[in-house]
Amino acid sequence: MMTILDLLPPILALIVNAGTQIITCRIKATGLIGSIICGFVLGVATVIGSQLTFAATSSSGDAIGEACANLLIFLCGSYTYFHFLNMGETARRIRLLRELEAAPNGLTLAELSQRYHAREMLERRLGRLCSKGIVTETDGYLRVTRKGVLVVTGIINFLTAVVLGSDYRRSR
Amino acid sequence: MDHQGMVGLALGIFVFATTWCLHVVWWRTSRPQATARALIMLFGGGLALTLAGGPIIAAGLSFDLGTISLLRAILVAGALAAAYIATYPALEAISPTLALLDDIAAAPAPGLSCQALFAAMDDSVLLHPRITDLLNEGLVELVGDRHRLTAKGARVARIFTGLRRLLGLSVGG
Repeated sequence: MMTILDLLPPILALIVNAGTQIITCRIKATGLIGSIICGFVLGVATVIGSQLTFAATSSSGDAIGEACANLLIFLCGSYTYFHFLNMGETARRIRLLRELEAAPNGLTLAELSQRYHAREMLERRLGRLCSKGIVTETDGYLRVTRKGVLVVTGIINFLTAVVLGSDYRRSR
Repeated sequence: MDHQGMVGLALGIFVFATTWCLHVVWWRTSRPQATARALIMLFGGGLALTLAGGPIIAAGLSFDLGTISLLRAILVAGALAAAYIATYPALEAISPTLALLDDIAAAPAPGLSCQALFAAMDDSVLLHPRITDLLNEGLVELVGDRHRLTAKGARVARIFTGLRRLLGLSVGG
């Protein structure tokens, strides 16, 4: 008979994932990306390890089904956590909220644009892409050098077309 | 043989997929203005219905759905929903990074000039729509010509400021 303990592996793994990431980043053992990777790797080890431990002691007859479900829960949870961290790092809306938080009397559109504008957004992102070798600049011209990343843009474009319609991006 | 693990997994995926299809129909018919709130309510509603209705439907179909399997299904569907909701902003808002990659990849040799890039993606494309989103979500309000945080916006800002402080990071954006 299954018990509530059978649901613990992915929850435990997510706690280990987040905890490791926060500690690693805070003590500056690695940068943000390194801490995310460390947390994820330890989280995977936790979900596999705890699954094996519980499977050995559990009377459930469907260890494979449970393992697949627990791994999926952990992977989705870890991905969501990564996005939460990424929002704080790169999301424009979060940056805008923090700019407004620092201005209790509010900001006009012009003032907001002075503090955070398109040029800065693009320069930051280009900087990240170039530092990771995904994009290179030669004589003022940009090229994508790691084309594998275009799979991600393809998936997002496909989902956008399904959910919002194929003319959505053109109208924006 | 006991298949309760697979039952929970399959039911969770089914609940998520069904709710996602409803989401697509709703959005294609009449997309709400406050999309984040609508997504959370829609997927949350799907989970609540599963919790309440799952055992009843299983009993009606003479199908063995244990409590743990039902909870596992809720966790699977909830995790998939959270992952999708986290991804959704990249669909709705033009992600500058993804748009950059698309435009650079599409440019013929010798590549996309930085000048052309900065000219095409200005504040009207990258900044103003995001401010509109914040107004629609009730995180920011317009008082005269000044944008101010609402109480809800201040709470969200504090979460992320607190997180960056916890991680020992700088301003970001």
